[in-house]
Amino acid sequence: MKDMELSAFFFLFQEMLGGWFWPLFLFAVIVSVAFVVQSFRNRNWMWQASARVKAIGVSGGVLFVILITLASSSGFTDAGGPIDFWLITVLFGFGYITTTTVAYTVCGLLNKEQCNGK
Amino acid sequence: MPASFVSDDAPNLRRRDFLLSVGAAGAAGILGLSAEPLYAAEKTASKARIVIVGAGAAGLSTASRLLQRLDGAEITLIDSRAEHYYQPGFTLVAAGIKSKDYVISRTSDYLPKGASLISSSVAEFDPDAKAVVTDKGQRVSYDYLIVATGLSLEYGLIDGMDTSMIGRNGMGSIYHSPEAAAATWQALTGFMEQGGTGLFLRPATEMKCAGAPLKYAFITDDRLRRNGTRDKARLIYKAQNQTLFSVPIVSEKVRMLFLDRGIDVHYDRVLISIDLGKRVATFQTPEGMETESYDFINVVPPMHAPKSVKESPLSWKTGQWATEGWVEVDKATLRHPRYPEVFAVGDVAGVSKGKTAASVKWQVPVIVDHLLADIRGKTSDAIYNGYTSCPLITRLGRAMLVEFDYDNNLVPSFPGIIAPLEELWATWVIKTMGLKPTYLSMLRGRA
Repeated sequence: MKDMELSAFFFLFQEMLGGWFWPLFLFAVIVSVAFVVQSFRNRNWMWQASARVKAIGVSGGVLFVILITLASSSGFTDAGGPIDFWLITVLFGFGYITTTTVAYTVCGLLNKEQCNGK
Repeated sequence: MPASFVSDDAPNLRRRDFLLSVGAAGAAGILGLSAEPLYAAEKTASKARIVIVGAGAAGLSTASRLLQRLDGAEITLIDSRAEHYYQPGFTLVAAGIKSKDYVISRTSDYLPKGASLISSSVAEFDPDAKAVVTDKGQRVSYDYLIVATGLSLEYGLIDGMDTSMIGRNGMGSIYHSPEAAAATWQALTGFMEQGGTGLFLRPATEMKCAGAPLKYAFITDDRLRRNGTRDKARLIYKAQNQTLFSVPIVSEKVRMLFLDRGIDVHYDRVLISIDLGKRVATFQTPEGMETESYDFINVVPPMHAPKSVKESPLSWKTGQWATEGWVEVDKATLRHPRYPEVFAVGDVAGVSKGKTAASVKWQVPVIVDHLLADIRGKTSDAIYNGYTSCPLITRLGRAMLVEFDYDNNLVPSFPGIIAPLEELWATWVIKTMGLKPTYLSMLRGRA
C-alpha cells in the first residue's frame, strides 16, 4: 500500500461528507481526547465498560450498517459474495467501536461507576 | 529517461490507489496508509501557454494537476457550458435512485486557482499556427494544447428522433442530459405499470460508458420484478454486433445474466430510425431493415467527436475512427503524432478504450507527465495502457466491478477479494457512495 496517501483519504472524505466533514472531524478529536482522559482518570479501559455501554455499542454497529444501506439505496440482503459479508462485518465493527467509544466517554464523564463496569 | 522524471503519480502505480480510495467509503480504517503528501513534487517554473479545450472531467483534472506542478504557466480552459455534469450518475437518476440535482454542479466550483476560463466553444483548431478560434471569433494561441472537448451525441443520425420528446410516449434517453435521465425514469415508471415490449440498444459507433445501456436493461428487469409486473413485459437488447461488450469474457458473462433474467438478445441490430408517435423502431440488420414495436425504449445515439474537432487537422483521416472524427493520438502517450505539442484526453481521444471517468483518471497523469517533461527538455516514459473500469449494475443493490485494458485483459484491483465477474453489494456501495467523492477529488487533482 506504498502509494496510498493519507491526504487522498482526507480529501475523499471531505468530498463525501461535505459540510459535515469539519464538525465531525472536530467531534472525533474532542471525543478522542476525552476518551484518553477518561481512560486514565478511571484507570480503566473500554473493554471493561459496562454491559449498558456495550449494548449501546451494538446498537451503534447495527445503526451504522443500516445507515450505509440507506445511503447506498440498498439493503444488506443484497449481499452476494464473501466480500459483502466482510463489508457488513467491518461496517458493524466500525459502528460498534465508534459508538462504544462515544458512549464510554460520555457516560464516564457523567457517572464513572455505572459506565466502567466496576 | 532519468528516474526523477517518472512522476510519483504515474498511472501504473495509481490504479489501485484510485479504487482503494473509492472503497474507503465503506471500509475506512482497514487500509494501510502512509503520511506522505499527495503532491510532494517540486514545481517547475514555466511561462508556457497551455490551452485546454473543454472543462469537463478531463479538462478540469488536467488543469488542476498542471497547476500543482507548474509555476508561472498560463493555463486557459475554453468551454461554453457553465454547468458541470457528473455523468456516471446519470444511470442512477434514470433508475429512480437519485434526483437530477445529484449530477448537476457548476464548472466554476472546480476551476483551479490560477487557471482562467473562456466561456465559449472552439469553432476552429489551427494546429499549424498553434491557435484555436472560439465561436465568438477570439483567437487563442498556445504552446501546448490539450483537447478535452468530450463528444457529440448525434441524435440527428437517427431518423425521426426528437430529443424534446424524451420521457414521453415510452421513449427515454439517458445520455442526453440530467433532465432527460429524470424524464427517462418517468417513462420507465409508466412501463413498469403497463408492461409491453422494452427495447434496449447501443450505437455502432464508439461510445462513452459502453456498459450503461446494459445496466439499464438490468435495472428495468429489476424494477419490473420489484413492481410485480415482470411477467407483463418482454425485454429485448439489440446488440450492435455479435457481442454484448467489447471484452469477450465480460460479454459472455452478460449473455448468461441476460439469459438468467429472461432478457432476449438480438445481435447485429443498429437503430437507424424511430417513429415516436407509433412507437416503432427500425433497425439495420445484415439481412436488411427490421421494425420492432415498443412500449418503452432507451435510445442511445451514435457518438462522434464534436464537429470542430472532426473537421480539424487533428482528427483521424484514415482508419476506423476517421468517420467519427476522434483526435488522432498515440494510444500509449495520447500525444498527436503530427503535432507533438497537442494531446487529447477523455472521450475525444481516438483510442480503442477509455471513454469513462476512470479512464480520465489514468490518462491525465500520463499527458501531464509528458507535457512537464517537454517543458523541462526531457522525455517521459509514462504510458496509458487503456485501463478503464465499469461498475456494471446487474440489479439494484448489486454490480460487477469490471476493469480492463486495451488488450481486453481483466485487470482487477483486488484479485481474490472483489471478483470482477461477481455480482456484489460491495461494488454497488462503491458505485453509489464512493465514486462521486472520488470523481470530485479527481477534478481537483487530489485523487
